[in-house]
Amino acid sequence: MSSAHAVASVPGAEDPLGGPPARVAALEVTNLQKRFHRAGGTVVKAVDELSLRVDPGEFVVLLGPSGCGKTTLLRSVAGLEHPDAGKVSIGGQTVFDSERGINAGPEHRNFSMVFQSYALWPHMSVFNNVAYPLRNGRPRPSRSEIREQVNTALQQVGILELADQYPNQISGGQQQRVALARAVVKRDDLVLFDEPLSNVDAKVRDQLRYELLAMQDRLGFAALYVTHDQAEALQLADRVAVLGEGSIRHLGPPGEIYSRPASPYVANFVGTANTLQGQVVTSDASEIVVETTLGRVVGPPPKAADLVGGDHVMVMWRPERTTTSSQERETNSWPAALVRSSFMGSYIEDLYQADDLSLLVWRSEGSGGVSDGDTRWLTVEPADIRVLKQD
Amino acid sequence: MRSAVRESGSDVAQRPSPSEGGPTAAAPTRHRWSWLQRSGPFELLSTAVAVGFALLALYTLFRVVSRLFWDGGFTLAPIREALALEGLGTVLSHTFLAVGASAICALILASFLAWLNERTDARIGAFTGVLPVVPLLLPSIAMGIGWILLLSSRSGYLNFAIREVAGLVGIGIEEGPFEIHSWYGLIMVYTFQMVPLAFLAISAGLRNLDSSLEEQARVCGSSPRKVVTTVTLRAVLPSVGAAVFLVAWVGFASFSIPVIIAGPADIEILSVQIARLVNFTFPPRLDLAVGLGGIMIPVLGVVWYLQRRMSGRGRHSAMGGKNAKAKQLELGAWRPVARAFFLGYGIVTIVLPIGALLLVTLNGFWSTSIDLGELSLDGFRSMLADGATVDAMRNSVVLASSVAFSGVFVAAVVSLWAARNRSPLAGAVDVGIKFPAAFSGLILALGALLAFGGEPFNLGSTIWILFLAYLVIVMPLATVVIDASVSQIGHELTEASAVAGARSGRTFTRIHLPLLIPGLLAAWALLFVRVVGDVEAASILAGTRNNVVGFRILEVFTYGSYSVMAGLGIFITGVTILVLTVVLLLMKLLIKRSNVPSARLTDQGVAGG
Repeated sequence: MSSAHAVASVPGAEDPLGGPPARVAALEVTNLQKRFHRAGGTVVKAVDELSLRVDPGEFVVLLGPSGCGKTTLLRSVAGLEHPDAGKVSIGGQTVFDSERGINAGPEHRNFSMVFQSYALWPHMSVFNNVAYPLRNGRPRPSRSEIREQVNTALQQVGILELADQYPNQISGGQQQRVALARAVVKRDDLVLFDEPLSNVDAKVRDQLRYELLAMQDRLGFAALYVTHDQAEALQLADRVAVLGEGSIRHLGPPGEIYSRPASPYVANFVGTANTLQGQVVTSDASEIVVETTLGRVVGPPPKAADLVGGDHVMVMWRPERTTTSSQERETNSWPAALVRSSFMGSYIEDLYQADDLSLLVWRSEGSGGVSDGDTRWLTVEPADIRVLKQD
Repeated sequence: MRSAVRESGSDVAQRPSPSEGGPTAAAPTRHRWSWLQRSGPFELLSTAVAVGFALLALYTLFRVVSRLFWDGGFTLAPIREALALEGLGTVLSHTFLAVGASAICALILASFLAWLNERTDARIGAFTGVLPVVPLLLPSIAMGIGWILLLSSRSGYLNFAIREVAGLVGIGIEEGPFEIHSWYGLIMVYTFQMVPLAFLAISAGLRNLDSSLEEQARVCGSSPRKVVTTVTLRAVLPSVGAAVFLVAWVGFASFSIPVIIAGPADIEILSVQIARLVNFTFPPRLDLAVGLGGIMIPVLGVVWYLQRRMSGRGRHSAMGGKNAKAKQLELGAWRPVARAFFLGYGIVTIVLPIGALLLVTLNGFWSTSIDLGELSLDGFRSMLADGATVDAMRNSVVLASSVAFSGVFVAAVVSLWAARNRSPLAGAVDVGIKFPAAFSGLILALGALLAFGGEPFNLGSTIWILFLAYLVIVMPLATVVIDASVSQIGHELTEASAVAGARSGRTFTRIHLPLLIPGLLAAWALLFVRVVGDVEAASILAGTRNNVVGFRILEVFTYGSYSVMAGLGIFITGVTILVLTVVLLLMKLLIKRSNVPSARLTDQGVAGG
């Protein structure tokens, strides 16, 4: 695995001191590469020597903007794209290995998939759509077994009564449930999801997310889930892999991704952040001090001892971690004038101007009582500051 | 918030899984998935069919093109002799004049009909969109015969009616006033033959045009007429360019119209000359025929280049951004006039010629003295008593059905194979199969004669040479229709089948074929219609031992038996209408039963909810 990638330690890895044997990964991707050649001759590295492991029962979300390589990675795992190099193993079985010339087709890999567009066959009823993977099984189950498994899957997603309907006779949300039932009917240990909720409206999406999590808890399959929706990623994942330009920029639990992003790229992509450019003044075991256009900013000691005086860094903190008051505080406190307050539903977003900088503050409705043009002191606790080396 | 990795618990269904057990138990079996092994038997069969058919098509073409330049050694003799042919100048000038004048008329008429249908409120549902296209589906030889029966100077029914009406108002006319065997007669029938394709191309362009372009012109003060001429038609220039190419191709390739209309008018048309050199000259002059055919290739190449320049200039707009329905111009008091024009066009191009054919068939002979009480099927029965005619009718139907079934099967396999394999080989096969579309049926029939008529195949004068030639001729049409259907199947529907464990053969039968039903039926009908009414290939390859309707019509034309010609014309028109009607009904029924939507099969399955 390349040292350039910020990768958290992998749970379940073999203990070199003789602990319990490592579990076989539900999915193991090793140094995968995939390039696309555009018209004009430019080469785009869609997947750039990427390695990733998904443990049994784990829910890993691939998050990133369009073009970051997340869908290409998913399709490479599925056998729907042919990578240029690397290795893919599903449940311990090698399905792609460029060095050994192994490239199994999707029909020979043990996994299921939910497509972005549901991919329901319009000429088949709901029952037959869900039964189709079972009918391709080798050996093929009996009719009664198929009926039982299909009905169980339909019941699990709550649409047993729609078994005789056709896709054009049911709603988008119901179609999505059919796609989900089809993915779980074979009880594969790995299920791939390609932005399955992006075509569903918001209310239905929230409901389906809960149901998906409940189903995954119940059935215990490992999931590799692609999305560009940060809220969805943070809600669903055991671990989030933030991708950028074909490589993993940060892999970790949602809390870590949100509160302690590994780089400015991750900080800017995940959630909303206030950011400042600055230069490290001092960095030691107790704190780090950065000189910015706002003044000196104090943050917690950096985890890796790789920030020294003079380094150019980005300072970031979340809007909801900012407090406002009429008085200056001792540390990390700056005067700013309120430009505009916006009602966002569950919170109020205040836009402040400090010199040439725009800063956001999120507060609950009822707190604050500030009018446009008022000057307040914005304060951030040092523990909520994150100092990141520039990309 | 989920923060811990879940352990696989006992609620996981108990089934054999490679993930259970330690790493050594799950060590992968060493599989070598070469292309051959990964392909499977169905994939190999598809590849063999695709490559095999492309080679068949290219071999047929190769034989005719190579004959132009090779006869034991490199030679330009066929071209030289063709260029030195007596009267060639007259043939070429007549051909260019007839096709050019017809193309202009067809473009004007088609543009007007397309504009009325797409951009005004004259449209009547699907009726006005389908009407101008119907003549495309009817056998052109039958339409040609119908126009002879209508506009022959002495005995044409329309002329007779005009003379009678003129007589009522005291104007005595001895003959005419119109003559089908004339320049204007030929140009008129050519025009009717060209309008359907031009209409389809221009309609497609107008349909996709963003009406805000026209609205902007109106806001700037342009009158509706100026908007049409300065904005609308210019914006759809690529479609007009495509229409130009199509009508030129149809015109130069047309044989059945000039063979029966141009000759008596002393108009020399190139396609007729080519066929005459092969089947009505002894000994047959294949080399001269090939040489004359070779003249058309650069001509069509120039037309194609001009059309590409017209569509490649970029000073036009096609699709607007938001797929909004185009605003239609309200014609007000002109609306009934416009609709009457559509109706009149349909009557003139469809009802009148078929009516004339029917009248002569039921009357038993061609005469302007018609006793409606005497009309019967006797004429048709006596036609059926003629063995040669019955043989021709039977052979045509059997041949058309066989070619349609074979062609649809091959086209479905090839289209799906090409869609799955985006490789240089697939590209080459696609070109190989579609390339014959650039050549007329006459040239391809010549190629089939050279390729299969002699050693080692010796299929000359058999039904098999016709079968092979028709397959090569119709395959571009079949693959274009089925390609369009295949492209409507979202790729995720195919991928989902593979992900569900189905190999390519199973995906073909359980997913692709059911979804392709509308396209397969449409292709079958088009292929059947194309073959049953064919005259071009029949004029080269058919004879007394392998007679088909097209050749039989040419035979009886030489001794002027118009009643038999009319009967055969009605036969192929009737078979065509019957087949199209049955296929349309079958399509509706199968679509309803299998729930396959007739609209785009997007990855959403269908719009639902």
